[in-house]
Amino acid sequence: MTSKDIEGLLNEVEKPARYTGGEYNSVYKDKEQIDIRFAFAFPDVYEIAMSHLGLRILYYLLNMREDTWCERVFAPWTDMEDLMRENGIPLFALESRDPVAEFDFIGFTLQYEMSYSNIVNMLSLSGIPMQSSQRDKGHPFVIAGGPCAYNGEPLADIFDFFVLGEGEEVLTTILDTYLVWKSRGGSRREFLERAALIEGVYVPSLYNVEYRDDGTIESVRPISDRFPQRINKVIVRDLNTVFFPDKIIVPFMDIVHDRIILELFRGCVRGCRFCQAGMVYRPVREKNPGILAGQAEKLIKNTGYEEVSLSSLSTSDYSKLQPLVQGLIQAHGGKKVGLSLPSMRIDSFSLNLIKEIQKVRKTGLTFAPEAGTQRLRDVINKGVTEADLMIAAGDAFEAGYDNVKLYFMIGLPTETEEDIDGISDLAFKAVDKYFATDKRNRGRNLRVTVSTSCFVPKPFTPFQWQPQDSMQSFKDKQQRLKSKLRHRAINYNWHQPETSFLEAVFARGDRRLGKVLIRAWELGCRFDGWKEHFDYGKWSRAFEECGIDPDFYALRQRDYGEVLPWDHINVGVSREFLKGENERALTGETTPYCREGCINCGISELFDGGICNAGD
Amino acid sequence: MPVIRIEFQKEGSTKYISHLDLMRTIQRSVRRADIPVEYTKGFNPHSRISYGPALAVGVSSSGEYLDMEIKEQLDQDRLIERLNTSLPSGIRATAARYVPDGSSSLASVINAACYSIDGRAQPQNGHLKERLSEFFSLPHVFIEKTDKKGRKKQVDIIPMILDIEKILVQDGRVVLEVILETGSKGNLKPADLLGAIIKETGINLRDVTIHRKGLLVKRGERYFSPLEIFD
Repeated sequence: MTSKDIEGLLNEVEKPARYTGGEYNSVYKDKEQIDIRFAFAFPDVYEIAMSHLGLRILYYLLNMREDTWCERVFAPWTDMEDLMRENGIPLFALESRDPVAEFDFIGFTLQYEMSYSNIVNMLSLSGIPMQSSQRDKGHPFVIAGGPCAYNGEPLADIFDFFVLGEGEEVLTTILDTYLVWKSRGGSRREFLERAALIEGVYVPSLYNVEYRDDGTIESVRPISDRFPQRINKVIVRDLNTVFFPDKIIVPFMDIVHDRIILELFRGCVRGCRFCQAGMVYRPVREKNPGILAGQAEKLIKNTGYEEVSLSSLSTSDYSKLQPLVQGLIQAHGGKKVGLSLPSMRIDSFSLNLIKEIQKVRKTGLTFAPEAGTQRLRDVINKGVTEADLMIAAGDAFEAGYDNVKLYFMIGLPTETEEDIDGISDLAFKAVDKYFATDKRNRGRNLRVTVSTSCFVPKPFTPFQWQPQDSMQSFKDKQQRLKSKLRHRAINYNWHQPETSFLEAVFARGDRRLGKVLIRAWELGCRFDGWKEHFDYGKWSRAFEECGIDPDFYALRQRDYGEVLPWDHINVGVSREFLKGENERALTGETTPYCREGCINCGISELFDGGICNAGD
Repeated sequence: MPVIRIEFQKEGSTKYISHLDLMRTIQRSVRRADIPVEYTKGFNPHSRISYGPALAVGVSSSGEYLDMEIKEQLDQDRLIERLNTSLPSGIRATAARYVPDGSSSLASVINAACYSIDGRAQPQNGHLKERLSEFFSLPHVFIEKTDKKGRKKQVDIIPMILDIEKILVQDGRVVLEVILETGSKGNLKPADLLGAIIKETGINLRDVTIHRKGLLVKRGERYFSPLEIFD
């Protein structure tokens, strides 16, 4: 295969810029001078993949090494896939257009369970054997990181190993270990055994899972004492000194987040009980504003981007947000660089800040109360009250905003009809608030958009033992809301329960799901996160043919004594803490957020030495 | 404010990026080059850069043009040099001239474009050259076009073929060089011409590449570069 053959396909596909490479700041090296070829793989289309901050960081981090060339490979859209299969063109890296099967590593990032069928598809397109056990010395190591790697068990047969936690430091160690192994010419197994001793590396083939008659897990044990019983995640201790790129690839085509992303901090001081990110990314580590300002300056200069996004799990919790924002506006406002603040808790402080940034343009504001009643918000420990919300909405209307989005989850533990009705009550109260606002100040065209997603219990959260609500119940609740939310100013959006069900199965799945995944892919499943491609019928058939009951994973209440498929992974937050939080949830007891005092989640026992900044 | 007209190429893999993507790419390149471009007023400022007729995705070009309004007059060679260091590979500025006050926009002055169309004929023989020449001497060739409102209408493309520069046939390879009407008054896309050729002559062309040699200004019977004619 040559680059010329690929050119031939580009004339025939939708959005060929997804596959051309050659964007400004993309990295090209002489492959003869390279020891390690690394393909950073994202199992979704270009527009989504290129928006991912982890890719932006690790691409340049790996390319800083003179012995390594990191390239990108993403899921080809179905039109491109068909043409590649027809013409016998294997999955290729965007930069060199070489087949990824020739690489040393393919590193997938696992952001979302619904992208798993794309991983299988990408391996199939590359010609690399699907299962770790079938690969030999000529094949790349297929590895994975990202949030879903914390419970990668459904993918345990596919991946050679998982990297748990933040990749910046551990990847370097892995590559150094690889070079030593490669120069000695050892077996594949030898490398895996050596890698398993690196902190943060989990090699699933070196662990045996035993099951009980009732289908639950008896034990997960390493095959030898040489390997750790529990695998700890790794973190970067100091965000001020860790590598951050001073440039990023500037895509030709429009991508989902087409802007510079600054990372204000990692971790989260809030303790929302449904949120996996809030638990697994602990401890809280802030970057200081001076470092951030320097990074912004270089990135703006090297990319020509006109927008900088200040990103983190809860941006308004950054302790120096105001000075940072003012500094950035002062430095770059004159060059028409705009700022965006996603993930803001909307209160009067943040509203003032947003007003300052957006000056005149009134775009929409998003509020995420997550649940319809105070009782249920207490259950999930979302520290927002109705009064907070109404004050914020009132301020927003007063400031001229007329487009408000309200995000909720349905199917949360202990939810009743009253909580569902609470969602529509809140929407109508927002409408009333708008009409109570002085006509001269408020915008003209009120739009209240209510979105409900279906709650998916995730590993490493207090709700990891909870059953998911049934699909029928989700549909009934959506129906109830559809009939209640009838108003010309209100839009109601909802999620397909089937997608959330499948997400729940794989989120808390174990190794037995691997065969279902491959069967579903054989039946044609891919791009399951895309409505136009998701076909629940095929998944249903795959479960049936493999003799696996998906309800066992999604709908079952676990007891505290059960061995969970991810119990041998240590993210720092302790099982005892999660259990306590689940208990408090059921009695509606809230837990203060970390700024008010340490709640002993366990993270400081894994990482001692005052790493957690939450109390600062 | 001074306006500078820049001639540029769009080649290599950048031929696969759309006009909208090109505009975004140029805007960011201009920012990286720190060229003091003028911005539109309003809540969502954009750099004041305007373009000639859009190039179809998949078609490369060695003669594209843009007009850029800048805050201060800079040396044009220095400006091109600066811009070229910040353009992605495949896009390159090749020449520039300041536009005199009161000039017309690129969109209104450009009315033609020269294309080179290259492909392999299937089957490889059978009087290809004669059949192609015959096609170009037909009095009318109608193709169906859909207007903005979705209505279909028949359009005669022969008057929009302004000149035939070259018909080359060698070992089954066909190279056509044609000047086609381009712009707001009348526009013939090379892909539509190709479709009509295939339909009328029965010659099937494979592995086709289309290259725009340049956008042109037709005055009388003569053609000029948009760097030569401004009104």
